[in-house]
Amino acid sequence: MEDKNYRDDFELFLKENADEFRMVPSRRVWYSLYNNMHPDRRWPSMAVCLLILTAVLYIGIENNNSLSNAAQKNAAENFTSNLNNNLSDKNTTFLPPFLDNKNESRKQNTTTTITLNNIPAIVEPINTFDAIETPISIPQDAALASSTIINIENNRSNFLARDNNNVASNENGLPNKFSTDNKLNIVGSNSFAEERKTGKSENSSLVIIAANNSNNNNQHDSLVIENIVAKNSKNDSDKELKNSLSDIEKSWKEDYAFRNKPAINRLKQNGSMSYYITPSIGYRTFGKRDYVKRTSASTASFNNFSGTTALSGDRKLDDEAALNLEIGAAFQYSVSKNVRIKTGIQGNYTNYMSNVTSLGHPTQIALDVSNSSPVYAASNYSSTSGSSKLNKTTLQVSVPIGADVKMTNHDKVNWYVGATLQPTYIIKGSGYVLSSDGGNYASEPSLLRKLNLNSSIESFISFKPSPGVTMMVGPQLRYQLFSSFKNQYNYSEKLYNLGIKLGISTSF
Amino acid sequence: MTEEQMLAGTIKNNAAAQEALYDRYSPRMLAVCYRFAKSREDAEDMLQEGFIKIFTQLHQYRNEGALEGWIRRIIVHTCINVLKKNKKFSETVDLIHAHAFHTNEDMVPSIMQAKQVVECIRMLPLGYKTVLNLYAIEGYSHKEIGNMLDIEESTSRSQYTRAKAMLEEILVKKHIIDKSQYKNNYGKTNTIK
Repeated sequence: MEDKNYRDDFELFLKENADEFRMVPSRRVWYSLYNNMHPDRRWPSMAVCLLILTAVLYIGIENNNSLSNAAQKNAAENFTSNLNNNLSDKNTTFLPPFLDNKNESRKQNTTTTITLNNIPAIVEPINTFDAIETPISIPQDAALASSTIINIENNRSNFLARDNNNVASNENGLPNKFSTDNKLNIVGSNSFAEERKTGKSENSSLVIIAANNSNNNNQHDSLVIENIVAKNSKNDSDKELKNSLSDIEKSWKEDYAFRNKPAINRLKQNGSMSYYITPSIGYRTFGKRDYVKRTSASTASFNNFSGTTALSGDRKLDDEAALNLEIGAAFQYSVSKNVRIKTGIQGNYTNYMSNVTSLGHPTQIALDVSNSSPVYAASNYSSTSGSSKLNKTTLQVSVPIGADVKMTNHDKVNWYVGATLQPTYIIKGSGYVLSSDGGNYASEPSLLRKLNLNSSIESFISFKPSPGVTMMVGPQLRYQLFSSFKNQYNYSEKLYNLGIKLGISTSF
Repeated sequence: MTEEQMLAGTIKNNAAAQEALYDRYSPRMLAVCYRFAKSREDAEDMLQEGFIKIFTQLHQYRNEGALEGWIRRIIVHTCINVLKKNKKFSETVDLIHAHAFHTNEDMVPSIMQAKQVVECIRMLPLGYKTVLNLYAIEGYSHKEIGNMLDIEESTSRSQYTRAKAMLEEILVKKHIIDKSQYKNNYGKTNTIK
């Protein structure tokens, strides 16, 4: 009795202390619980993540361009506008952005007004070099410059008009008046006129000298282009231009050139496309769903590439791996020296086989479907191992999103490891499902989950056989994160593949 | 949120109700898991698995007895199932070997008695502490324990006897219980060396 009393006391002592003890679980537990209980709510968060990732990628790429095309255009237009203001105040001219010679519609529609002492002169078309025969009209009473340089800068994006003889400049370093010998010099530094003339792509300077017949009675005298001097040496024209410019103008030109320098195309520099194919062997894990497993004694689990899987009772499944295939294309973008992110689209054909016995006639079977009345299907196959084979196939399309990390840093050969998450849409599948007693198979594609999530890890060796081209080869493991079947079907099947990824990557 | 609202909401898979239920009972249930588990992480895994079971089976609760008792039974069974996956419960440790095992006693943090007692229980070998937890704290009979752990009833008794002796010794050495109160399982006064 003493012993019993003592034992009771001791147990009471232990129980009191144990019950008094509390521990606060980390928040991770609740989040995992939540995800388990509400798997359908994962998709919105994944979609949001995908959206954010895409947005970040887009913004990153856009901002990596030191001066994007749009920004460059804006800068040029702003600059033109400013100069127009300055120059028109001084009764001289600044022409609007020069238009692309190759753009036919623009060429036809372009008319540019030059004002000299507030009297308009007309140059038609603006891309004068394209139509050398076209007269340049200058108003009869215009006080024209003895020579005016129209400088075509930055790949013919703008004109700069200048009084060539007038050394004195206003405070902005821009010309303040024209001389009166009614000559107009147009100096171009673009390449296309020369290309047109000689067929060469070499940058050349072009000098066009136009004279004004001031005695003509027409309201607008015609300035006929008298001479075209193609200077093959770019340096000559540059020197000529430099000598004719004041320091402030040079400074302005440099600043302008800096602002309008060709944008470095980061996308081309850091981006590449890869195309790959991954033959693999595919198999599955198979078992009762977790919550079913915990409430019943029946279990089934299997992780190797072939063999039998024990079900409840003495039933066994006889499955074996089969050939799978993955084909895809991905865009890769290097975010740092050793890391590149990637996304793309890929198709997967998955397959594994079950050795079954064909039934002489169809049999009605009940499927193990929870939260509903029993679901029946017609079965032509017994799950007992036999000579017949069931190909359990799916056709999937997915959008892999992931990253590769370069583990070595050599010129020709490098080693990468990478991983992707792959939101997947199941286009179609054979949908063979087990009966509730595990004894039969029936095709019930309606129980297949349409959306799934796959993951993959890979390691590969890349080799550059020539500049801009990279070959890659390495092992890849792909694993399906959710069951192939919908939640109400109480068996769970997760596919996985082990294969060799072969790919080729080309830079832009 | 009242208990009735929590129950009704949880049965309807309402996240807010589930969270309320979880917040109310998880600290106590984690303490239960912790006594069975190797580490806090394992205990949290057990807790998570247990609560999934609670949420999915709550419709089976018939309001017979306290909800906490029902939850606790599910948690304990979950812990046992997890342990059974990894370990055989017929494992025993001789008392002779158990002396050597006591070298870890100094690692028990002296924060508070309840924690000390729990930490001392956790120092026991797996088979011992499981049987002791189930018998002395959770109130299961040796027959029930035998069924739960797939061991003989007699094995459960002998393991409990040894576990208790070992735990008493640890508690005395840690000065959590008084030497003069220390008695072995046979009612004899024992002296500490």
